Amino acid sequence: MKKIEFTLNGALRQFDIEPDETLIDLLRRIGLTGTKRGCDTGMCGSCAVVMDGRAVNACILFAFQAAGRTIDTIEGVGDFDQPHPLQVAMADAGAVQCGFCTPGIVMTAKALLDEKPDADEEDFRQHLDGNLCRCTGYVKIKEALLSCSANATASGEAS
Amino acid sequence: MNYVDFKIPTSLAEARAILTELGDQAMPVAGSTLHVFLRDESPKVGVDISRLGLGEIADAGDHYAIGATTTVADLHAFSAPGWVLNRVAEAFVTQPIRNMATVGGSVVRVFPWSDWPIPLLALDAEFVITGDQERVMSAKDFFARQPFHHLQPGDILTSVRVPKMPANAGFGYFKERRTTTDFSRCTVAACVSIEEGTLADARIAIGAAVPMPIRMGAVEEALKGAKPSAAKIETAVLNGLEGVRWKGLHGISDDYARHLTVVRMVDALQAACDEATAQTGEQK
Amino acid sequence: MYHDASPESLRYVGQGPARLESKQKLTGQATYVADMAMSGMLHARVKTSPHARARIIKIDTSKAEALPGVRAVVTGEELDYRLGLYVVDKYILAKGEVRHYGEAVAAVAADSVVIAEKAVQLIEVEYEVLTPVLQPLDAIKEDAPLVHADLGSYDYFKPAFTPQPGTNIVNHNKIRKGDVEKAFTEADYVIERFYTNPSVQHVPIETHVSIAKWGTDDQITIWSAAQSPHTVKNLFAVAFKIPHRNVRVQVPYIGGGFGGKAGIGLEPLVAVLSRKAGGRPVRLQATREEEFSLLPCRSGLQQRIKTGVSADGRILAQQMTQYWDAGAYADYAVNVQRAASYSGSGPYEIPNCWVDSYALYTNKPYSTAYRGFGHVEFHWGIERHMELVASAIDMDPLEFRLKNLLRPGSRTITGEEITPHTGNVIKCVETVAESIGYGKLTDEEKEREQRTGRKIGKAVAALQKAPAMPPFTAASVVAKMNQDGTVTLNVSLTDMGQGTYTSLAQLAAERLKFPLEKVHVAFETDTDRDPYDWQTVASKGLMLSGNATILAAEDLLKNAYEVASQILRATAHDMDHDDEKIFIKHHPGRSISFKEIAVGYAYPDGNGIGGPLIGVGRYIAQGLGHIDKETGQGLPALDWTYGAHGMVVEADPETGEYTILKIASAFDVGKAINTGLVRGQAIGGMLQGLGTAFCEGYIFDEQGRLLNPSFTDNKIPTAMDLPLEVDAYVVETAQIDGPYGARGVGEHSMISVCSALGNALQQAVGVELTHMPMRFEDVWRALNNKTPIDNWITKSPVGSCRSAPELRRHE
Repeated sequence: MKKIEFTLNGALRQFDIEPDETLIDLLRRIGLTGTKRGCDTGMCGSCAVVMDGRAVNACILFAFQAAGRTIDTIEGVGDFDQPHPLQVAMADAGAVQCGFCTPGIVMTAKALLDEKPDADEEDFRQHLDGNLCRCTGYVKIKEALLSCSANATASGEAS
Repeated sequence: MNYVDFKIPTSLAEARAILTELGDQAMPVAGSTLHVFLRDESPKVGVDISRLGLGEIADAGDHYAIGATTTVADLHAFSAPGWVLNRVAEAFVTQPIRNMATVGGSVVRVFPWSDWPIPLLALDAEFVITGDQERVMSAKDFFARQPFHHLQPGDILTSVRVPKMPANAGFGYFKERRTTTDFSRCTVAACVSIEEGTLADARIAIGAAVPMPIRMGAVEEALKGAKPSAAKIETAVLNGLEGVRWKGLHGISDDYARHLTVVRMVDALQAACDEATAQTGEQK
Repeated sequence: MYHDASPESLRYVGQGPARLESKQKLTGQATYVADMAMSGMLHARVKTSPHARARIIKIDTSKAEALPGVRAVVTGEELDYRLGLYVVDKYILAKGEVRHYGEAVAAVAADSVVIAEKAVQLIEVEYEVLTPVLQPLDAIKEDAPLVHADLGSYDYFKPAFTPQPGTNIVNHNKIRKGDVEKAFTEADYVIERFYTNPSVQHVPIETHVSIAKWGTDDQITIWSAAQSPHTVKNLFAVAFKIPHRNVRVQVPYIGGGFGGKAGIGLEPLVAVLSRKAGGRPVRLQATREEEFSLLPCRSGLQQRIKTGVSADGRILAQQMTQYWDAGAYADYAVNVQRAASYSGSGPYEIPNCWVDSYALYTNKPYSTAYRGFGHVEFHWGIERHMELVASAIDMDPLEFRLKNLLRPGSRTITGEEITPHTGNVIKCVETVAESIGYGKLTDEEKEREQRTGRKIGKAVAALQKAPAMPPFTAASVVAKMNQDGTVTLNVSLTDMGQGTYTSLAQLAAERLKFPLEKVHVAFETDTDRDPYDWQTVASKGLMLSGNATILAAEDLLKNAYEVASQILRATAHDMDHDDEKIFIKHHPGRSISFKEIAVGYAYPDGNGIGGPLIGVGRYIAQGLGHIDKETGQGLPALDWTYGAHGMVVEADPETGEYTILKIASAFDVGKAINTGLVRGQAIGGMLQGLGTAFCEGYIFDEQGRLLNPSFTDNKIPTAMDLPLEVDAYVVETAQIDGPYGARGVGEHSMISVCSALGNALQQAVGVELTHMPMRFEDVWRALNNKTPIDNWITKSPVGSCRSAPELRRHE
């Protein structure tokens, strides 16, 4: 065990970690189970969290790599009473099916919108290319995310 | 990866000292994406080299100096005259991986399907290795064998120098895969410059369809000094394939690997010529 | 039920309210099995076989047992329980022999996953490697090695299946309608082809995961990502010979199933580990790699189709022989194969039709239900064949289909008569044909061809599917009123993302005349508390549980009216209700609120009557029967959902590469209960179908080792792989016995997508493709008349990204 600290969902916290512990293992160990394990090879995006403003796969990052950085997980994005606009849009558009990939998609999309509030359809397609979803066929996800863009009215309604 | 300890150096000197001391036991870690492909279970100390100030792209006159831990996402977002690597970055795996993977990590260990060596070969990039002294290697030398063999304990690949594309130059890049985020089965990068309507320079590199990325010297020679016509490009490509060992990846045959690469070599050269021509046209 | 309700009278049915549980999922609060933690919980890992077929000589677990933190190690030798849905052929852990790569031979429960993994590596297994049989056509040969030498001793479900001991044939079904041999001699053309597809993986994003606790007195509690809790309970109790009442299965949120979680999976293994570890709960989550090989996949299929047609394009006769690759165990594969026999012609009227359908054991990971239940696989051949037959007789393929599709008065190949209420496949086909502008290129498309040098092709493909289930399949629903007058539905049908719970809530709200917000569906199912439902499979959930929901609502109202009748001193006949109260029709002022009677009514003096209001709805498929084993004639289908896809593709004649420009789908859903959810199913299944159409598939080496069990080597489509344009339509021909006329559509969107793609490629560049998936190289080879490349069982390991043999050589 070795101590590190990083900012998790807005609060600076200390953690005792094993050197070979992945970030997803750490997050789930401390009860943040919204970050899902899908492949352990960085290929499905279910474990996407936001590190220093960018979506990354927590399953192939080691916990020590988070030291000193800022990590945001789904637990820090809106809640039942005050959902993030992305969450509202995805619920309304029917962009959620089994829900297992959903937290990762919210995190990836949020990172994009925070960086580029007027993201367009091509931005969303590209930024979501690392989030596998086997249920929805992505169309409604794309529609929902697009409706959250500052660009939503300018680029026209999703078909 | 079997990490028994980790170190988080904050300067190049500190990192080099740690790596020198630990020798083979050290595993430099930056983007972390390489872990998926390594099956080494011997005890290692993870050395986080992502905080050494090597994450910037600098304008260095005739070239851009890319810090080795610059992420692919940053290469994608970067936009400047004579910069074409955003086109390569765009086709690289997925967004989270683009956010994590670094240019250094993508070139020190070359896989059959690696993307980055091909454009860097075609662009005549140079690789700066910081050891007791600083060494600069040409792309051809760097990729002549597995690049990590060039590194002694304590050596760090610190920077990749990519020459700026001159105004009369064009770049063509193709990466073929089954799905958009798949590993490449055929990667082609071509870079040409046109003077007075003829090809002053032509460089082309291929990968994925061959065991290790290579420059296609015979094709280049045949094109230099020629007028860039479709027929000329096709002839140069078809006559320049001797000695290439084709190897299909991910279930494709060697035949198809060859066919696809040949088609894309022609396309890449054509695209590069078109771009160069358009740019020289604009200048006039 | 209520199929003829006028649309104006409906408040919720036919609308598109959002999924009930969206927010739980969007905030990361929804609890999946992998998210559950229990005190004392141990973690399990599995030792799997590196061989496809081998005798187990010896397993040495001593080193693993000695590792600190290890609490239980089990091997097949100490377990004597066999499981099977239809053929009881599978031990919990391999015993004596391994039959496929990735099969479990031993398992460990330990204090942590890391310790369990280390212990597994310390288990030493000595094998005598045997030659595997890998292809169905080899497995059916007389001298083939037997995958199950003891087949004759296995128990099986006798009314439907017929294993043939001494062979690898685990089931054979026949359809005999008319006389095909005679009809072939009368046909103007006879066209015959052979179609194939490999095994594929479901790829739910959540891998299989189970927790079990084997308590004292053999009280077993299982938490599992299982589609069918009562099937897990039943198979478990039967295999262990313990009373059903001792087995409790709980299912929280499921991260996708697609059939892969339909039967029983890891539950028995974690249960025996828990028993051995003294009753501590044990958890096992499959790795992604195990999801591909330890857990089941979809069957491969090789099928021969021979069709006789008249010069004017009427199908006179068709003979089909299907060889299904069941893999090492029968699981659902025999029922997939059986369903594929009686549905095997697709939605066409064929007066003379013979089908011989075999399920064959091979030494490959075993196969199970997968969205479409065999229909994706055989429709691949059927719908490609229709295209090729039409081309062979020089007829437009759309016209050829319209001439031969089922219509009222037609008889299916099992002799069922199609009625005006069965569903309208012709309308589905016409809808998608119109949507893609079938038969011509627009000016824009012509310009695009000019510009890109690519060729554009347009084609359609039709489909049909009925639920493949026992003819007496049943479901039940309990509706309970809460103190505030809201209603909770208890069901043990599961919602793994398809959205049925939302539809059930709509149906209950509709029938109760309550606002949707007043209806809650209890999300986590529990076989101890929730009423029976056979399984969550077959696109039968909405129809059977939907009807049961309506009946439960009616029962609840009946019971409420009974109490109200006493309080209001009126007959039920003279009463009506709104969302708050029951009132007397002719004296609307005299009423009693649901709140007051929800858990029993109390008079002002404290006297009570009534008791808690509960409604029970039971529904069973009616009028169906086992099909005749010799002729295949009979009535096996609860309802037929028809559909069609139209595809526009552009292909590069030089490289065989292609891009899908548009796909349009239409399904006759009877009545869309929830329009948004129907569209979700339509588009989601379409893209899943495209995955198996263009790239997915298991690749083995000649020793039967799976070479691509990962997301690096087995790609599934991403958001970037969507067709440029996607349209989904519904056709509504009410199903008389469906809830408000609805029928299921969970699987159909995946069926025939591959065929539509093959057909469109044929129209674009003239290639005759008979193997799915259609990789770019397959198209290129067909274009250049090169021998098709069949490397699904490959001589030399193809480049695996993860194993990267080339890298090692350079080192």
